[in-house]
Amino acid sequence: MLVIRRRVGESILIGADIELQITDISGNRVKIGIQAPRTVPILRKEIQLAAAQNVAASRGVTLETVAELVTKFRHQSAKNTALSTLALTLLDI
Amino acid sequence: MPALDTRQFGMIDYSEESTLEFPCGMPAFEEHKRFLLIEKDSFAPFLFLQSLLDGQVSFIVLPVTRIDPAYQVALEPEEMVLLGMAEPSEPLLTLAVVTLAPGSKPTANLAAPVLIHMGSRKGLQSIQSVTDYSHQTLVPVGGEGQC
Repeated sequence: MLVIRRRVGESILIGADIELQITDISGNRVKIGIQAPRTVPILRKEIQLAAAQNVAASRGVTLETVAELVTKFRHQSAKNTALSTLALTLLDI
Repeated sequence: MPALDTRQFGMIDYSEESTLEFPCGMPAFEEHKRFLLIEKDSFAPFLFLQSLLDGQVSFIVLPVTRIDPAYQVALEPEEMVLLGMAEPSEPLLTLAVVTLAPGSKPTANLAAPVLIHMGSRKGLQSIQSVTDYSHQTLVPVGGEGQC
């Protein structure tokens, strides 16, 4: 990865028609101004991750897979309850 | 009464009052602005977030506290506006979108929870910009090899 030091007000050019300008820095946050052709998609990476995850999530929804998940999840919850009951029982003795 | 042909439950009737409004949709589903939150005893505590635009599109969601009781969401001011929130203390339902992929363990997206304001019935998926949570947090389902 190319790493470049910049101050507030300074810019970076990417190719012929994309400019990134550091407009503000406060604490651990940086404000970046972007000039690019409208055809260039610009996304915060977290949004792209969420988008990909949402697409995967919407594909996995079938009643069978959900039913299986519910059974396993409840089994897990039941196990936890049993554990705490066991601990209480031991204390009572 | 409006009805929707859903992938999971076939034809369902719903009232306009039961709908949820997502002003920005969800990432990758931006055009889906209205949803139903479907609860069914046999699938509790999981819920279905069903798109009203397309009956084929739905998500399995789980209250985040079922995965992490100490879960805290960081709200941006613009998100409060979208949710129709006046005070940060107003009650929100915070849900994680669950992914079930064949051959892999179920995961929940704790890095981008779905927030629904109880009062306004408005919702959004909140991309947490600073978070220790993963968008693929394992859902605790027990399974093999655990002591």
